[in-house]
Amino acid sequence: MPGSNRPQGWIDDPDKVEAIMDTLPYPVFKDVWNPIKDTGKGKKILLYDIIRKVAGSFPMRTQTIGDCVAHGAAYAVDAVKAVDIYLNKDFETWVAETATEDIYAGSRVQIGRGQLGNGDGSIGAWAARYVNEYGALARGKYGNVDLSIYSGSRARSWGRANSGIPKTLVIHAKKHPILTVSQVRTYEECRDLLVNGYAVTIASNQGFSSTRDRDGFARPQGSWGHQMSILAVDDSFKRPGVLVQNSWGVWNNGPKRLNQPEGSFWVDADEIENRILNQGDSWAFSGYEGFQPQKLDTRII
Amino acid sequence: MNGATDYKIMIFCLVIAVLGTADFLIRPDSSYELDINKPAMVVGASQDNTLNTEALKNVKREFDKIESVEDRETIHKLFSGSASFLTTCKSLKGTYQFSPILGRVQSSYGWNREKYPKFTDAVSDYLVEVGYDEPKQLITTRERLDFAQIFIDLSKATTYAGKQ
Repeated sequence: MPGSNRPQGWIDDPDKVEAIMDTLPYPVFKDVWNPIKDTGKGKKILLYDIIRKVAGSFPMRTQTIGDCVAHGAAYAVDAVKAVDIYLNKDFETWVAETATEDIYAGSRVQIGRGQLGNGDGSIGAWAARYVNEYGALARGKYGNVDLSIYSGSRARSWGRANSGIPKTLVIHAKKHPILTVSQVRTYEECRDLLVNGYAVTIASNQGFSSTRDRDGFARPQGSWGHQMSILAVDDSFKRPGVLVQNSWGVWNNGPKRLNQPEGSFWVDADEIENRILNQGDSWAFSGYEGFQPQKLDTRII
Repeated sequence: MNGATDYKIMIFCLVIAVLGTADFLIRPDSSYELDINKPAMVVGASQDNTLNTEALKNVKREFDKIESVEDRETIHKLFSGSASFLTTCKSLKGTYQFSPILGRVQSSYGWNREKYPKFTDAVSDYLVEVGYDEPKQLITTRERLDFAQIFIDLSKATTYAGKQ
């Protein structure tokens, strides 16, 4: 089965998702959809392209443990950061791609209170709540904690029930929250969100073919307990759909469209809604409290 | 216009301003067009040459020690072109966006930063004195003109024979 031997890590637990929703001011995007309803109809937006423009290159992630929840959330944070800088012209600067170890451990321990024990995995709602309440950090050094390079073993270690992310890191993370998170359940909601500069991270048990068809789409196939991210929507194409970015590096092949990143694939609108969004653990992120530009170099001549 | 195109146009406009061969008009939507009939503004040549701080006077002293006329001309053009560009440019949202654009233009000129380290020191001291190192927003006309003034003053401090 394609991908079934690769690390995944999403845990399907509707009750825990429901518990998180009780804590959110706008738990369901549908409730606040009206102002932007149908604004994405017939439109296309490529968030991966905006990330490329802001970051200089597209960040490729290859998870080594069952921390897909953090990778899927981190891509969504990357997209929100890039949109803030590129489209919203916020007075912020791109520092680096979003770190995953803190999101993974924070979701499991700071939010999940260690309920999952020491095995790998987490819940999409927990990651959404974590980046909303605690924030998300760019890769880099924070005091004596070096998050410059992804480490699956560090994520696993911090994610153990009695561990959690270091308190010194929490201080830094809290400066950079995602401002709102809301559950997304339909393709139309997802389309309108993306066109308005939101990002969406998705989780489900649905797997996909590792071979894209001639339009760059992947056929639903097999079962993955997996979280990924939606980084584009094209409602103007003959096959309306979204681009899903995986965190397995270069794992699939076949034709690509619109200069899509390695490791990604398009999914038809009805498939994304019926097979993934309907499972209830997919989340829209909007607004990021970003990094202010640092002191400027004065040696300019 | 997308951000990447915007950035390339800003570099192009700064090159034009540095070359001093043309000026550019800015449309209400912040896009640009070249006005080849209008001479470029050479700020340093038309302003009062009073250097009002010790740091700026030191820039002048170090500049005068540079023997290469070509290098002095390049330095002056970089500063006066920057002043001209910043006076009219409305696309920059923050001061932190300027240095990378200047760097690209310097590269196109084959100019290496730190070529004259003591001169670089003097300019750096001046920039710290006027608060250039603190990133600021460039939203209002006042903010843009205040930022441009830094380069107007550097242009004045680097006038050379033939540009007095």
